[in-house]
Order: sequence, then C-alpha cells, then structure tokens
Amino acid sequence: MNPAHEIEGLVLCQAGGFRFAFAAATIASIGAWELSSGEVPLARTAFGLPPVPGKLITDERSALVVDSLEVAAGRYPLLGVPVVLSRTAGGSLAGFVATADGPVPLLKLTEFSAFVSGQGAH
Amino acid sequence: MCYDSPPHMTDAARGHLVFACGESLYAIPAERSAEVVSLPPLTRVPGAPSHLLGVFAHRGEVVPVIDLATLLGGKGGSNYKRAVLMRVARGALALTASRVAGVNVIEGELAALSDTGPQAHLKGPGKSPVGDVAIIEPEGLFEFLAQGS
Repeated sequence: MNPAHEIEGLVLCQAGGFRFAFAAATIASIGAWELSSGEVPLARTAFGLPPVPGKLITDERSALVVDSLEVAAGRYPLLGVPVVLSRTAGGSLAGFVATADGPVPLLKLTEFSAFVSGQGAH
Repeated sequence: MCYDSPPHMTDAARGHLVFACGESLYAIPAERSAEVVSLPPLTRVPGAPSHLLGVFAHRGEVVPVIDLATLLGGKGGSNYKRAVLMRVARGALALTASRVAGVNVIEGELAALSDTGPQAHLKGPGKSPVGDVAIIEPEGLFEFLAQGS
C-alpha cells in the first residue's frame, strides 16, 4: 500500500447498518434531522431502506441525512476505487478507507446527495 | 504484466479454471484466474447493482465481488464462501464460486451466448470433464461491468 495515500479526519456514518465515510474537511455542518424537518436526500435510499430520523450533514452545496455518525481524527490508509465501481452511486466514490473491519467507502457528499435524490425520484 | 498468449494456441486449447456458480459451470482462462480466495465479510457499496455483492480488501487492493448467477439473470446465492479472482490489465474482480473443479482443457465449437448483455462475453457450449461450461471472456466482461455498474 502506498503510504502517501492517506486521509486525515473522517466523518464515519451509518445507514441501516451499512458504513460509509466523508472527508471531515469537506463537511460544513452537522445537525439533527427529524422526519418532519423537510425533504433532504437520505443515505438510506441508496440501500433501499425507509426513512428514519437521523443526522443532517452538509457541505457548501448539498445536504444528506444519515442514521448516525462519529467524527474520527487521525490519519487513515486510503485505497483506490476499482475501475468497475467508477460509475457506481453516480460516480460519488472517492476511495475506500482501510480499517480492521474491512474497507469503508469514502464518498463525495455533493455527488452522493445528487445520486440519492435521483434514486428517490424514481 | 503481459497477458498475451502464444499465437499458436486457440481459446479452447488453453487451460481453463472451471468453477460452478449456482447450477451452472463456468470456465476462465487459467492465465486470468489469479487465485481462488476465501471470502471475508463483504462491504456493501451504496447504489451498487444486485450482482455486485460488495467489496473486500486483498493485498492492498479493493476487489469487487460479482455474483455471476445474478448478473446472468438467474437465481443468485447468498452464502458464497469462495470466489475466483480474475485479473485483467485494468483491475481485478472476484467471481463467486459454489464449487471449483480445477484446471481443464475445454473442447467444443464455441460461440458467444448472445449478441448483447453480459452473455455476449461468454462462449459456449464448451465441453469439460465435469460437464458443459460457458467460457468467460475476461476483458469483455470486465469492460461490460465497468460501463454498467
């Protein structure tokens, strides 16, 4: 593994038991979200799951609701996106964070939020 | 790494790794089948199609796991323990295997199973010692998956 491929600071998220992450540096805000809070793309949609209350995360352009999250400081090894997955989830995969429990998808929030919005519209 | 085969050898004359996925047998050119791996718990990828069961890390690389049975429109499995690691110039894929029958020479008049879809990258019917097989064309199947996933 190339030690130059690392990421510092993660927002580790869960949706229905599935794990994914965003680069902490790209996240502008974190807040609570209720079913009555208004329409926002839900990460659960990408896994075919119904909505539940969760956490709202935003960057400069978009927003997404996840079930739960934790902010993790420190540096983590980052693995590349396989060619076969380059178009998956609207091209929102930025890599995979290598952890002891297996690779965790690292997503680009704007692209993933747009992908989930498109799924919810179908 | 060079994947070229000696020019005097035909597809059928080369050794193929034969394996079962569901009720069907498949064969992959031996030089493309890097190894047979035991599958760890898989990481599911959001938005992935149903034939893409998940990924796992293998020697510093993320490897997608493909359920051939589901990809080809059949009944997919849910409890695969092994997979055949297929490697082409642009990356690797793990193809789920319910049984691995070893390396065999495949015989027969081979033709693509379809003009379109993933079957366009399978040839058959091939005759192996363990039964009729569909021969996977690794580069074509890889590119098909890269375009469609």
